Amino acid sequence: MTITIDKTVALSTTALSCTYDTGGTPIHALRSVDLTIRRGSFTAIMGPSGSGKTTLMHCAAGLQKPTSGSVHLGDSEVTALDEKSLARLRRVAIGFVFQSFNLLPALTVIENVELPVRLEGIRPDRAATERLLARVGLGERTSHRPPQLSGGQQQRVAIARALIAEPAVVFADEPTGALDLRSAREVLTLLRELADAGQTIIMVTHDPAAAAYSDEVLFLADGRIVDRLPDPTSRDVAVRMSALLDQAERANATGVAL
Amino acid sequence: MIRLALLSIARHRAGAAATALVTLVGVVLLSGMAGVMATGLAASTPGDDRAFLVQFPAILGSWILGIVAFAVISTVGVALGGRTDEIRGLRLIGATPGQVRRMVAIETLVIATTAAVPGVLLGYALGAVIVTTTATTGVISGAGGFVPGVLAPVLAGLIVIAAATIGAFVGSREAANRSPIGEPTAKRRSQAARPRRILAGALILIGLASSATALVMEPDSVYATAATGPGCVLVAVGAALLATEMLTLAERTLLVALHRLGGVGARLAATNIRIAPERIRPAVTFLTLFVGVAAGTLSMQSIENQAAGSGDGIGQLMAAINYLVVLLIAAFMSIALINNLIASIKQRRGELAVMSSIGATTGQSTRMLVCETAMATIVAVVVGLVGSIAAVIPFAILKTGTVADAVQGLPLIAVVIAASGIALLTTVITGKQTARTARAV
Repeated sequence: MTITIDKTVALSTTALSCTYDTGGTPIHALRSVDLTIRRGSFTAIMGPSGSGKTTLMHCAAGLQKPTSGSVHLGDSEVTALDEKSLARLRRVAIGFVFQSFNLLPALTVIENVELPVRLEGIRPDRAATERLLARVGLGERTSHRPPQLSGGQQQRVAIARALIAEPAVVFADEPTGALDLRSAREVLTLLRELADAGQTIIMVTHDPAAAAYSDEVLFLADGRIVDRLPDPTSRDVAVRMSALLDQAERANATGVAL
Repeated sequence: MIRLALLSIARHRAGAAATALVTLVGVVLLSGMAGVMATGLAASTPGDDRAFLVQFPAILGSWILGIVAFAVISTVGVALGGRTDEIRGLRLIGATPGQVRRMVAIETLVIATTAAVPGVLLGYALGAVIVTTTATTGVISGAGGFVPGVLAPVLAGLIVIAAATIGAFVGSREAANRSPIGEPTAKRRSQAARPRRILAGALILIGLASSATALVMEPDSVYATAATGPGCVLVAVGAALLATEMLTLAERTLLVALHRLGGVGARLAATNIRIAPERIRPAVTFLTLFVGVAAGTLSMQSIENQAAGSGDGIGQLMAAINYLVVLLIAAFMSIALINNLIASIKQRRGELAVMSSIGATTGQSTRMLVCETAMATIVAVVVGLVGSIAAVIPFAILKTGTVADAVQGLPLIAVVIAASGIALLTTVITGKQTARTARAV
């Protein structure tokens, strides 16, 4: 099968479904999701708890096998890759930023950032790493270890690590969830600047203020994309989320899916 | 990757110390045996002493090597249990399971090499003690003295280093292959369990078959002991490999009893074993091995004494070998057991901190841990005793003609007291200390 690759598309999913077999009633975390993420865009994914946003991110990033459907990242079909190829994809084509930073406490800042490149078996370009750390505002902290940094600084190390391999997409899962307001604003401003410079970013969040930094917000409910909001403001996002939550509560009360 | 491995050792000192101790004792035992064997092969050793000085360490050395590899695999597995987040982080940024396993293997190689140096030196001392003691009992003349040379003890050290490194690579398989976003699914877990179950079944069958060959031998044949001894060890190893299954079975049958005990500690222990049996599994594994091997070997000796009275030269030789096997394996298993119990309790500091923050007393938390260890001990004692008795039955029939003589009261009671004493005492001391210092952050 030949696939025509649209160079303006960074990531796409086709009829992506994911069902969890819990022994009782199966849980449909994703129901045939079709999604196209433009190159260089900053997309926020929002939705009530259990709406499928984390599953969507895990499937899109190749961390989880969907029940059916496909994910394309550039010219790779993520859903067709084996475990080893997926690990390589995470080293060279995908960057991750998580709520809990996931830095190795034994390594210095610069060693943490360069680790994916070393895992790839390449000697890192130290000058390039230092430029990257300067870009995220940590040029003076390269030899510190994570426990010596604030939460916001640790998250910026994680962002630098996500960018080291110049990935096609950076996935951020609640990147400001563990941060105070000021640090959160710094991290979001950094993500916005990266997107403006052409980096594709997909961020899962429950915070309307964080989502307002994105180009477009996708709203998920019961495993489906139910709404989109381009050029969002915090207020608009909060209003839509509130409506979605009301809808979910009503559906729960009557036992009807959205 | 090498730098990361070296830094990890410094970061995870407790796990590194546990691995170092297991390797150290392994090297002491194996290089000691190598020294004895080298003495047996030395030109200056009298011909009459050769058979004992070569065969004795050859038989014992192979058991020790197998047990060291087994202990390292378990120790590394437990130590990695406390590094789940770190491994998940590595996997998330693109480390393959192979890279994670190589990192763990390099760490173990460095630790094992460091531990092997004093190990070989202590091994020389052990070898000298064995040779002089055996000479004192008159089994050998000892006229040639203790001449271990350099090559054999050092080679033994290198073999243990290699076994530990390979053991670490094998022992890290499950942790490295785990999904970076969560726990393995039930289906995956049972797939991983199948080869282990098959191996366990095969070992038990081979062990029982080895023991059964005693039935076709003459009652005073040395080979009856030579077949039953390894039979006991194989059955014990096979049973130890089935620790997870035994725990599940015990949890189902003993759960009601634990709930009836009424205490919150007992209830929590029952829940913990049901939800996370892997935390207590290494304790069951080592306890089963300890009980199985010690009970089997001591029972054999007791049957031998009952059948032959004081015994002749060969009987004395076999007695010496049996007691030494039990002593060495029991000492080694105790160290591995204590190591693993301490590591697994310390890893639960966070959980104990949560309990403390909601008002649990140190006593309540400790009782919960003690109940879990007690459950592990009951399982290991039952399985270990049944296995050892089954493996000794043909020997009992051969020596005394009575199946019932396979159950030797005194040795079995002594083994059970030793096993439960070590396990419970370690849990009480470590549990109390950890529960007292664990505070929610």
